[in-house]
Amino acid sequence: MMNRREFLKAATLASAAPLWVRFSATAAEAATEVPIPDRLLLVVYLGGGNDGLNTVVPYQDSAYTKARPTVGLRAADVNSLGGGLGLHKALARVYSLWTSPTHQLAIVQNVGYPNPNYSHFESTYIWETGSATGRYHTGWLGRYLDATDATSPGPVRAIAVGMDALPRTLIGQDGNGVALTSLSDFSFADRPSNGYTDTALRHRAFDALGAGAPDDGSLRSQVLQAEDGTVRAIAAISGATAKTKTNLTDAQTVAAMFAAKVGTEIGFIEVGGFDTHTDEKAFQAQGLQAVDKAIGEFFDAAKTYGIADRVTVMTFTDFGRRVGENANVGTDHGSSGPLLVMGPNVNGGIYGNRPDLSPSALQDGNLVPAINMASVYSSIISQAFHTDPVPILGDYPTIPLIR
Amino acid sequence: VTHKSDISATSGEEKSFPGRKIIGRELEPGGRLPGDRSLIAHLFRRAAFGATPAVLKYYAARSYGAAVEDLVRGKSIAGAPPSFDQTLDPVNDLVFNVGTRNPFSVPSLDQIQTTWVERMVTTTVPLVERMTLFLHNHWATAYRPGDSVDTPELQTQNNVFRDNALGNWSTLCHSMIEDVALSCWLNNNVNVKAHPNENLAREFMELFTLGPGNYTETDVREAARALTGYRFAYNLQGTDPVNEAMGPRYVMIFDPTQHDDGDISIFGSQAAPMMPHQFVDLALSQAAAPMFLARKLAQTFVTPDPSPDFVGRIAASLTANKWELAPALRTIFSSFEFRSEAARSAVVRSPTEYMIGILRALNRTSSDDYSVALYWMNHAGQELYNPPNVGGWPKNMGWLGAGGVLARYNAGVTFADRHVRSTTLPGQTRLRSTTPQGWGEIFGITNLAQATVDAMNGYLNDPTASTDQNVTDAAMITLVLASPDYMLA
Repeated sequence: MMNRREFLKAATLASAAPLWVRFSATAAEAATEVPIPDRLLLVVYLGGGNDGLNTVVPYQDSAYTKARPTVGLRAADVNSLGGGLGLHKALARVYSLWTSPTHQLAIVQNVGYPNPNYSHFESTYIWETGSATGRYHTGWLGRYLDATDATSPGPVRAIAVGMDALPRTLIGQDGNGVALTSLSDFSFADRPSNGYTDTALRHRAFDALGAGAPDDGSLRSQVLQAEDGTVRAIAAISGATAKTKTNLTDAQTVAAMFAAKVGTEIGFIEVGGFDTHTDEKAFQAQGLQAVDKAIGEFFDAAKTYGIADRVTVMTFTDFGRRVGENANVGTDHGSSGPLLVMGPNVNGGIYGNRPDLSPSALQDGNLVPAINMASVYSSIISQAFHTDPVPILGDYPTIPLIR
Repeated sequence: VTHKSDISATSGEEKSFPGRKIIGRELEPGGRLPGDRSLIAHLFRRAAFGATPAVLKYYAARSYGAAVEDLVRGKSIAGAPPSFDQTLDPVNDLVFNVGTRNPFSVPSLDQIQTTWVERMVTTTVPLVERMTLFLHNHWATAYRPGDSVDTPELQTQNNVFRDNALGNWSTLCHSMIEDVALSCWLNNNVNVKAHPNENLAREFMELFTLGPGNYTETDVREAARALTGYRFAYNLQGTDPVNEAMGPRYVMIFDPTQHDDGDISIFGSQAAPMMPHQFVDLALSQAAAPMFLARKLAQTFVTPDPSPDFVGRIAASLTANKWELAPALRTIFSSFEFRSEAARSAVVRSPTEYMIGILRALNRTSSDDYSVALYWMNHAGQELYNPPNVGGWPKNMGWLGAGGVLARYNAGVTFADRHVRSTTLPGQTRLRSTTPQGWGEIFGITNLAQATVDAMNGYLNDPTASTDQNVTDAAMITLVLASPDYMLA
């Protein structure tokens, strides 16, 4: 499979009307259904820095209760994972994956990167690029998409729903991802059904704006490439919309795109509200409930679309939070935290050691990360996507998270 | 993907450029660059939401330097169409005042958004509004009515931005640590000595004044202590509820008993008690402070990747003029870097600039137009008063995901239709052109790319093109607005 630019070049050569490339190429490509990929990954970003210690809770650890006299959760606030650990009760649906006979929840403890950064933006950038050293500036999944561009067909390989801009996680060199707020908004206003009589002529002229433009990396060529990507995405998504009902949530939209046979294999959604400097118990419960609801909706929709056996869900966040609580019944920015991986192909269980919360084991009041995020990412890339993670992330040990 | 500007790569050429020696000084009217239309159009795209043909004509007959001076001095732009002077009643007089004290008349978010859109569309001092938008993105504060970041507080903050838009950066920084909206947004209303809250301290250094790498984690903890003591309170001064202009309904008051009066050391300063405003002065005294603001201004107004030399000259202006913004903006717009070919089309318009440019060009000044503009701004990813986080909105290609491109395209379709369907009064004619280049000029672009001209002519010359002028005019507007020429500023 050629990448888009090659496709367009080929289409130009084959076409009798070389000036107007974009729409004709799109129409031809969108008309071709692509088999649903074997493995489908939904990434759920918990915006603001979710408090890992109040998500996978060491509620019987005296160092925990001591550090968190008011913010700390107690036995009644969690569902037991055994060994003195409990999962925040707001994650009820997620917990049902833990108790299911097939054991579909993996928890990787104390995940982070060396020399933690406590800035939302710097730290999220590190998590999204998968590089704490500035080695990479594209997203870790963007690089996966780049690496497999030649062999994976489909006009919309990754989709971020509920946002206008592509998250860095999905940004690569080749522009494989699409961000959108909802499927139903995703169409040209000047279509015939809105009373326009010159739609085809307009769109051919829109196409021609990019005629003869050099692919020289200039901002102008990047704008044209973005417009090209938009046109392709609209064609693909209008095909997908025809097959689904409207009013889908973000998570259901991802499932719909996975099932739409346009080559989508990665979805990205965000649930915000985790920067719990104040009143953490209420805010975090609210946020985790929203995460739980989204994950439940996604698995339910996947079942409806007949793709339940292919899906995996993973979470990440900006950083964990400070071990000791602050004066505002909240917690400040911290370092590492647990990462959840869920789905029918997941080897359920708890990976990594429980973080040591005794004051002497902390650094500036923060956990010392034990497992590099890049190890988790490498595991996903190699075990779910059967792709060599080393060129994408560097050489990190993998964890047997996925069958 | 960072756009690589070639400005920094052309330092050799820079030295030989004859205009180089005028950097930092006012360009003289009638001097070296008399009325270069394409340069004036470039200036207005960056600094003023675009030039109308009347504005272009006016300054082309004078000089580029005159246009820079009028903009940075906040003088009314001469040659603006009559509708641009603010003879229209404000959409909502109430919210022009600094917040209402009446809890039953708190404006809606939509009202304060509409008010600002109207100001941007009708202003005769466009750089003031453009800088207000810059400051809103810089001190990005989002509508959170449950946390006392409600519309009166956001309007108050917006007024502070406008008052300081061409004013003084240090004054603004001092105001902002007592701004109700920002304080509640970043939890400084609950920052007490027993338990300092780091949120404002960190963002003040990272995002507002210094940038990452210019402070340590210890500095964050110490600065949080220096900022302790503020409390959110009803404004008890002036209790006349009818006269809303008397002051905001809430203020931050300083409670010395909650301020940490122990020794504080930040950036290696001598350990000593430190008051909040001393911390602001200390931060601004760091070498990184003028460079940080200079770089952000250069990235916003000139190029995503400004050369260190250019940033250094802007920073030197800020330092020499004790943080006055107008001289720094004059330095920017007078610079070789800004005027160079490499700086043309080097930044992507934000959705707000994109929409406001359309409304100003097509003279669309009804409240209905403002609502439609707000709708598409939201869809294109920029809801005023609701940035995604304290880091502000995306920039450049970050705006142009498929959703963003589509929203811009559809906004163009919508305003093209509103234009060709609008009624004209007797004796008036509707703004139009018979050539692609003429349509470009209507939207402040003097030199449409050949591909854009060809695409538009391809439409007009197609045998199936409509004979109805309204249909073809709407298509021309849609195409100009969808072109990279207009997407870029």
